[in-house]
Amino acid sequence: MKTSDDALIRRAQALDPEALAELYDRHFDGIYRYVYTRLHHHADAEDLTEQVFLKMVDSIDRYRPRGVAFSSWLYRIAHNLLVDRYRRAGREPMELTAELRDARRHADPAAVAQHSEERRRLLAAVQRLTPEQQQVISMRFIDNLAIDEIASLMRRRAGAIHSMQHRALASLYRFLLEPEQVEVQRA
Amino acid sequence: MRDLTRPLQECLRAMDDKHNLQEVLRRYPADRDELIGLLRLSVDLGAMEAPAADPAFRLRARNRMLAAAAHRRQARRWNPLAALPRPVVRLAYAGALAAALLVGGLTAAAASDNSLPGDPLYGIKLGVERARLATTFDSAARVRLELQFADVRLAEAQRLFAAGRVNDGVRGMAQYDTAVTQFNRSIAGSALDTRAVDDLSRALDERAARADATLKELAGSLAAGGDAEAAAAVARTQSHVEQAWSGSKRDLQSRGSASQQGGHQTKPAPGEPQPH
Repeated sequence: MKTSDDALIRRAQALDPEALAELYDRHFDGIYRYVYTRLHHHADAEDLTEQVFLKMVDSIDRYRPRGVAFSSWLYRIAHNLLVDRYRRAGREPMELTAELRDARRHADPAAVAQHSEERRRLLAAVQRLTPEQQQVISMRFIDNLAIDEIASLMRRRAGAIHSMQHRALASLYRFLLEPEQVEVQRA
Repeated sequence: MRDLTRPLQECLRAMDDKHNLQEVLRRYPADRDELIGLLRLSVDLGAMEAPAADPAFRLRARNRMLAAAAHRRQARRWNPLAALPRPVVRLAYAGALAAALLVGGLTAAAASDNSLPGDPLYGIKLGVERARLATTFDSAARVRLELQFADVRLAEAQRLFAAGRVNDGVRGMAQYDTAVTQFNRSIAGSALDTRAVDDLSRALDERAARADATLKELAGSLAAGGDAEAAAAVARTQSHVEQAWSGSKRDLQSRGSASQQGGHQTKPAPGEPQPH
């Protein structure tokens, strides 16, 4: 953690409004997307994101760096709130769904259609992964979290996350090749 | 499936750090195609994103968070402990609790000093006496304490009779009797030096005379008040205590004469080996 982050967090722990606003601005988008990706509902995602930051204010004085990045601590709050919500609703956590959009912009309608089809196939393949693999893939590539942050959130060692990431990508690769091979054999 | 964890990790790091990916791929010629496939997948996955939040909500939530922080700041002003780190607060609370227990304990001990058998604080009074005996390691001082506690038992019994609590008074007499017997046993079991023997002898003479007068007076007043049973109980105690005093006196006198023969030294209890 950089010294500037340390100083910012110390000010935030003293409830300095500017420091808190700075932390909010730095982490809002990541947290909102992390929550939305798992709830697939704007109003629910807004409600839970707001709770994450209120909880941050409430317990920031308890945060001790000790090798845990501030973002990991914040994602842990979001994760715990999500788990509570899933438990109350009596349903299993979900990772990726068709509601995610392709962030790449395509001018050519043919390219848009092709990418849309690829996206659909990719999401279908992701659904075939184990829940843990989906979680790693989603945190690593969609939420853009570092391996250490994912390890801290999933309470695993970084090495275990690396190998889970590889197994998940390799399975995805295999799933995506399968129909093509079938089509080649038919031809 | 071959384990490509490490090469994949290196490729992803090269992509993140915008280093030369081709260079990394050249190190793994046999796995190059599979690695490229996996990297393409990671890019495709990375291109998927959740829609951004409504900017109006973002601003609203920010304001609500800052309002909550202001509220919390205000609360800290009223409670300065809230601003301290949690372990310090815990320590402060533990210290305050220990101080409260100490003050409460001392207050209760002081308040129990005047309590009588049957009062709620009487147990504390006996507890304090036991603690004082347990922490007194000098034999002579222990024996003097026991004599002092025997006086306290007699005074309690007197107050109980005076308060009209005759049954409690009779029980108090029995406790006084026990205390004197205990004093007698302690004298017999303690090694005392000449000075302690002399001091205790004087104290014993004075106490025995005073107790005898008190008990006679008490028995007389109870008999005059028509409480023959209680008067008889006091008379029995008087007789029993008198025997105990006499035994203690003899014990101390025998040690006194031994001291005159053998010089100024510690007197062993009867049964203890004589110093050579």
